[in-house]
Amino acid sequence: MSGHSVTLQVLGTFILWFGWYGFNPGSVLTMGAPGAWKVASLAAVNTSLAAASGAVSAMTLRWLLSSENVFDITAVCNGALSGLVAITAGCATVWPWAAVVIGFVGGLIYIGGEGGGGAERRSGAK
Amino acid sequence: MTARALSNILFLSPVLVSNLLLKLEIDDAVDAIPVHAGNGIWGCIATGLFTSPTLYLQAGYASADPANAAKVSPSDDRRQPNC
Repeated sequence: MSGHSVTLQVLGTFILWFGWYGFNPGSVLTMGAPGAWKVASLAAVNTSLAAASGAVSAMTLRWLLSSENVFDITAVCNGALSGLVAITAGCATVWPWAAVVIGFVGGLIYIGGEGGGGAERRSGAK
Repeated sequence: MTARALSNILFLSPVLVSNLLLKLEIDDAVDAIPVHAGNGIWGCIATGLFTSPTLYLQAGYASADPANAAKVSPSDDRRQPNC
């Protein structure tokens, strides 16, 4: 997209992703209580898996819908964020396999919601 | 019926969101609304679909089963939902 830096977008995505580890595992609020480390570590694992699978599914669906044979880094970044948003509610209470499913569907919902081409398509830019 | 409703929530409403952004001319340059609104809704539904009773207790919540409502997980010395 003209006027925008994809490099900075990737940097910002990874800053958000890193910060999410302070959000989901940090929401346990303590590591001192018995068993709290289990909850925090499960949240960290689920956060990682959902973000990764959201990135993969968004990238794949954008590629399937696109007429050009390219993988869109914007879809990867926003797909990872979609996976993070989707797993936040349940990160302490679902098994890691469910985190993969939740993140995967999250990436698909993102591509559905932005209408196939994202902000670039809506702005009319090419 | 349930499947129809679920597919409407998951797939029809995102398309409506996309057209709504166009119609209202909202300049959502970073796709924040598709990322956060759609997946926030999905995350809330998915938590109910995928939550494991074991992990639910481990996370310190009281059992959802009324028969075991008084049973609190051993790790629960910081939240007291039954007080």
